[in-house]
Amino acid sequence: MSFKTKDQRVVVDDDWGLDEFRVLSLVARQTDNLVVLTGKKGQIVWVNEAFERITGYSFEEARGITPGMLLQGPDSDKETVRKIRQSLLNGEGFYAEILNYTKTKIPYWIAINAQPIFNPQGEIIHFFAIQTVITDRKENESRLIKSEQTFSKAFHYSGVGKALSTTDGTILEINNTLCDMLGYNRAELTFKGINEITHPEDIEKNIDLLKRALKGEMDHYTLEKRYLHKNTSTIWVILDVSVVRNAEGTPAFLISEVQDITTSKLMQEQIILQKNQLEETARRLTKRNQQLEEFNQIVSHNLRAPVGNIITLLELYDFSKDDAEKYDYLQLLRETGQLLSSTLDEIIEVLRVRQSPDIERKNLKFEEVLQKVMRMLAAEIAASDAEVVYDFRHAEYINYPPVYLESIFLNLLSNSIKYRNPTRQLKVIYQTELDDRNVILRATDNGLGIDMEKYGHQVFKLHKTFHRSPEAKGIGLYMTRNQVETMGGEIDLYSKVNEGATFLVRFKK
Amino acid sequence: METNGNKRLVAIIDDDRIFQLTATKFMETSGLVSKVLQFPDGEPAIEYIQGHLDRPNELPDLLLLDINMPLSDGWMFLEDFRRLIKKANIRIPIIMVSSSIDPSDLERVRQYPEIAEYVVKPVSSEKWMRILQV
Repeated sequence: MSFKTKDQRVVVDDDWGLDEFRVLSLVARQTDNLVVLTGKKGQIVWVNEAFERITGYSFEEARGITPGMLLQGPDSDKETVRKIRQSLLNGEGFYAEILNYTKTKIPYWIAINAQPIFNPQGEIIHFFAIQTVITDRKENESRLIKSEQTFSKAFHYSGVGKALSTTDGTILEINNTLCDMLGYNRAELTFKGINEITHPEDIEKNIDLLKRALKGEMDHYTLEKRYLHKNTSTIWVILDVSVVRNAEGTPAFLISEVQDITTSKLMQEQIILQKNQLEETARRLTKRNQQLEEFNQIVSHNLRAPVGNIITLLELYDFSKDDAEKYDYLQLLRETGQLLSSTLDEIIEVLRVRQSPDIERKNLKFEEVLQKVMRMLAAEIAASDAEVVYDFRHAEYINYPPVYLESIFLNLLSNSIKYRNPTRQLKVIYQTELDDRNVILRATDNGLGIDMEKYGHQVFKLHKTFHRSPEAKGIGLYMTRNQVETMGGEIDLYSKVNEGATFLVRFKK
Repeated sequence: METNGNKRLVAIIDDDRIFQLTATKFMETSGLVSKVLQFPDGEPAIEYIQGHLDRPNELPDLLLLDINMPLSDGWMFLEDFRRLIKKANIRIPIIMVSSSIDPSDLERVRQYPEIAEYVVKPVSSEKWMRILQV
């Protein structure tokens, strides 16, 4: 409601006559404002053409009726109507804004400037009113109010945390969602600097982005950052900051929208942790499974077979009537027993290796260990006229169980000698290199090689041999692999028939 | 039951020397077998069959095949054997004789219709009599 009384008095002479009124009305006729002259009780005595045009009432129709009676309708504000009436009774001028209706009942907003006119005796003789149509302004106002209300509602009742701050980060307005998120009440946060509630490690994080946004390179930016809850716990959020500029384009405010992602962040961290644990478990289980399958094969073939032979030989022994034949069977039984016993020894040795990953390590020099092994194999090296060369410059030392490293060299070198190519001099090269995770030993020979396509899947398995040689027992590489893998390493073979073989041993650093 | 005049030629493909010996002994005493061919792994067996395709009466009537062998094992032999019989029109029943009780081996046996039977070692004299009638 808009209503004001006025103190200024207009006094006219008694003979304020028709001539002057005519001059005035000539002027009034021309304006787009509505002009109304009433008697002292408010009844219309004159209106201009604009009045007739806008209200739809002719002067004849309006004459003698108060403007209120003529123009007010159901939505005209009752309080304003009462005040206008009061001013008329009091004989005071007033300014009022009110909703009126045309003859065809179309509502319009009007601003009324009314002035009583006194005679020299101080008696009111007229009221003179100029009215301006303000429908457009009123509608704009109501739209503005509505949009302000909408904005305020959107700000304060949003499920997203929101804050309005100065460009240097002082909070001016903050909504409940953001207050709740941070554990403070609104008074505690208003006029606080944003950095005071930011995780210390993340304060620097958005400075660069903010600078660029203030410079106008972008109107908003989004980042993931951490706030500190009042209870000092960390709150992970996605923050979206928009720069609000004034009419000149200078940054005026920052609007921040904040979404709490702490729960999903924690879940994400847990999922990653669990995923890593699961992968590690899966890797261990796969390895364990491979080992079990291998043992299954060992039991099937290396243990069940000789036991089966013993049973069969005993059956044949029982059937046999011939002493010489019986003696043969006993010989075979003895042989089988010895084989079984040595297989069991090998399996026990493998198990012993597998179960002792904590075996004591020492800082070993590759060169010294290789030379020791070469002394152990001196006779074989001499007999085969083998040339052994090495280059351990790239990795001279390894922290490893001494017995294992010796055994690895022993197996590799004796393999090279055993499977040398008789048509050329054997040459064996040992080299070390480093990568980010391993010390790598590369052993290359120019021997017979192994047909990888045929036998690649069987290399490193117990009692598998790939050469028709009486010396091939198939234990060496199996043991080497066990010693390497137990210590967390890997062994691979690359080979071509008649060209030679290269063993790559990766020792975990 | 085979008649004595129609004794069979049996090939054993097995790296186990003792099994070769005892199996041969059982077959000889069964009266059903005329001759036993012994191969330590798949490769020489394939070579023998390939070399005797033009002399069908010297081809084995029955193959006893081990799984675990160094060099060419039972599965490698079966692959080579398949290729061979595709070219030559011969049919030789195969009995797999292995000490393996590994379910994955038994599963794999099912993928080879060439395998007439899977026999787990040790093989008793009764089992031998049954095998030799395949």
